[in-house]
Amino acid sequence: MSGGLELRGLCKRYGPVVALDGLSFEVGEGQVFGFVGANGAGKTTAMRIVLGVLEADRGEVFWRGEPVDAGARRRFGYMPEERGLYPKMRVGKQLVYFARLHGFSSGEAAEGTAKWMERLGVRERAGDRVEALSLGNQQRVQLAAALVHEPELLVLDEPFSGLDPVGVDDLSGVLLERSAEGVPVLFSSHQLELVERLCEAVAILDRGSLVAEGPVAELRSSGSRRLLRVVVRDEGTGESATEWEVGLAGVERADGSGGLLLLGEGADEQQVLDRARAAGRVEHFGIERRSLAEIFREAMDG
Amino acid sequence: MRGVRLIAVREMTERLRDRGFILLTVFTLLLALGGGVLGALAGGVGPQEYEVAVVGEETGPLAALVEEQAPAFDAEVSFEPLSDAAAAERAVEGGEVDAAVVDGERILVDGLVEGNLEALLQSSAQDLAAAETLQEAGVPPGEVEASLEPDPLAVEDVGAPEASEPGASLVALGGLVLLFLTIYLYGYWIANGVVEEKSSRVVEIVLSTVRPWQLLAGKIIGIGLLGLGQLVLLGSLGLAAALVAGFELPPATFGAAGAILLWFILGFAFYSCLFAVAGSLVSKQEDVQYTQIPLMVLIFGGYGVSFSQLGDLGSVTAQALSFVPPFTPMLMLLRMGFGEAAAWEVALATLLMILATAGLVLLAARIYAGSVLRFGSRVSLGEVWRSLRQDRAKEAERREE
Repeated sequence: MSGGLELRGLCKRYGPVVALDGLSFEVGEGQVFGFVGANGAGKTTAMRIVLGVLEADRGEVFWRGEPVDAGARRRFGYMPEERGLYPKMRVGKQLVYFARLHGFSSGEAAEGTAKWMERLGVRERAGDRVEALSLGNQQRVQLAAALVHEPELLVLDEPFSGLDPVGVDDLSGVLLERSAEGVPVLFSSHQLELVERLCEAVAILDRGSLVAEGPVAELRSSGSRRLLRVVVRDEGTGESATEWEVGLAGVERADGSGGLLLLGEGADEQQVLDRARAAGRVEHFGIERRSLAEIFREAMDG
Repeated sequence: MRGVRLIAVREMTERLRDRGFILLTVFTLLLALGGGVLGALAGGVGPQEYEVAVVGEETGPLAALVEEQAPAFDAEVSFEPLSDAAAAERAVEGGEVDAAVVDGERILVDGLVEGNLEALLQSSAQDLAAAETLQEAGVPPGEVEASLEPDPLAVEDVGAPEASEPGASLVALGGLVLLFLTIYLYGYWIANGVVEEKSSRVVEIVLSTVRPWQLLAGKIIGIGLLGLGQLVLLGSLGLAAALVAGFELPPATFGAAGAILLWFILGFAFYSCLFAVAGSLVSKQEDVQYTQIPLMVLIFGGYGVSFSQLGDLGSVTAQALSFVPPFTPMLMLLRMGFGEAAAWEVALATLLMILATAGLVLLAARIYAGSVLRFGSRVSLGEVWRSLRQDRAKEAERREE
C-alpha cells in the first residue's frame, strides 16, 4: 500500500527495557486507526518514532511508500500524550507559530489559525494567554495546534483523555471529517467503546508487539472462539429451555440462562440449531459479535 | 535554517512583550543614563566659569591676557567693569563675582577661590610685567612674545612602553563587570527558557517539527541577540549621556567597547550551551537553581580570578588562564584593556574559544536531545551519558547490518 503510513519492524530498547519489539502495521489513506494496549505497551514510543521525536533502534517508518524524512514529517499533525503549549504565549500567536514551524508562510498560518479557532470555538480567545484559558479550551487549542497546518496525517496520543462528553463528540466529529478528506488518523485510547465506534481498524499492542490487528469488523466476527446466542422456549412450560446443548462437541455455556454459548474448536452451528429446534421453539439464533473490549481481553490472555 | 530563525524570532518577540523584561531594560537604561550624567558631574567637566570684576584702566591689558591664557587653566573668564575699589569689594563679598582685579595691582577674593582662577590671574600678571620690562629694555614686540612662550621641554618616557591608551583600563574594568553580569543573566534566561518548554511539555510538539540542535541554536541566537541589543543600547546610551554632559571620553573607549562585544558574543555562546544543558536536566522551574550551580561557580570563579590577577596581568598565571575557555572572555578583556595582550594572543584566544564553543555546541545538543524529553525527576548527567553511549552502540550495530 502506498497511500498511507506503514511501520515496519520497529524496535526500541531503553536500557534493559524493551519498548518495541518488531512492531509492524499499516494505516491506509483516509482510515481511522485505533491503537490499543495497556499502559507501557509501547504506543507512545511508536508514535514518537513516527513523528521523529525518538529514533528507532531498528525498523523504519514509511509514508506513501517512501521512508519518512523531515519534510514529510512537517506535514504530519501530532498531539503528544504529554499535553503542552507555551503558557504565556497568546493563543493566536502560538497557533501561527506552530503552523509556521510546519512550513506554512505567515499568510497561510494566519488563515489556518483563524479557521481552526473558529471551527473549535476558541476564536474570541485569540488574544488571551494560554494559561488564562479553562482546561477545556486549552484542549481545544491543543487540538488546533495539531490541525492548524492542514496535516496529511494525524497522530494523536490519547486525544480523548480528559475530555467531557461534548469535547468527545467534537473531537470525534473532527477526526471523522479529516478521514473523510483522505487523511489517515492514528490515535491511541483506552476508551475501547470509542475506538470501536470510530475506527475502521485497530492494532492491539502488548509489551512492544502486536497481538491483534485488522479491520474492526473482522476482528469482531472472527477468532478461534465464537459466541452464539440461542434462545429456546420450552413449548410445554413456556420457560427458557436449558441444558439442551449438553453433549454437543466444542459447545460450552457462557452464562447461566441468557442463552450465550461459546463455540470452540470443532463446534458446528448447524448441529446446535438442530438440537435447539428439537428442544423447543427457537426465538433467537445468531452469532454474537464480540466487543473490542472482549477481543482486547482475549488478546491479552492469549 | 528556517526553523532556527523562527525559533530565534519567537524567543525575542515573546521576551520583548514580557513585562518583566521591559521593566528590567528600562531600569538598567535609567541606571546607565544616570550613571553617565553623575559621572560627568562628578568629573568636574568642562572649563570652570568665572566672573571677575575689573577696576581702573590699567587692568585692561591684564584682562586681555587672562582671556588668552584661560584655556590653559581650564577656565573661562568673563569680566565686569566696575567704577571703584569699594564697589569691587562689595561685589566680591556679595558673591556676585569670583574675584576682582583693582588697578592691575591688587586681587580681591572672598576666602579661598575654587580652582585655578588665582593662579591664572597671577600668571597673567607676571607675564604682563615681564613683557613690559622686556619692551622697556628695547626688545622688539615680536620677540617679546616668543621669549615669553619658549618651546616646552621634550618629555621622554623611559619606563616600559605601554600599549594601552590612558582610560582603556578603566573601561576594561567596567566591561568586566558588565560581561560578568550579562553572561550570567542571559545564560540564566537560556536555562529558564529550556525548562519552561520542558515543564509545560510543549517541547515535544516543537521537536516533532525541528531537530533538537535547531531548537537549541534558535534559543541561543534569539536570547543572545536580545542580550547583545540590550548591551549595545545600554552602552551607547551611557556614552551618549556622558558626551551630552560634556564628559570627555578616553580615546580608547571605542576599542574597548569593541572588545567587550567580542568577548560577550564568544563568552555567551560558550556559557549558553552549558546553561541549556543545565536547564534540560530538570523538569521544574525551581530545580534549575541546583543544576546551574556548577556554572555559577565557573562564572563567579572566572570573575574572581580576573580580579585577583588585576595587579599582575602580565603574570604567567594570568597569561595561561586567559587561554582556558571558561576564563578567556573575562581575562582577555582585562589583558587587552591593560595593554598586556599581544595581537597574536588575542587571535589565538579567540580561535580557541571558537573551537571550544563549536565542540560544546555539538556535545550540548546531544545531551540536550537525550534529556529534554525525559520528564519527571532530575536527570543525572551520568544517566544521559550512558544512554548516549548506548545509542552510539546501537548505531554502530545498525551500520554493521
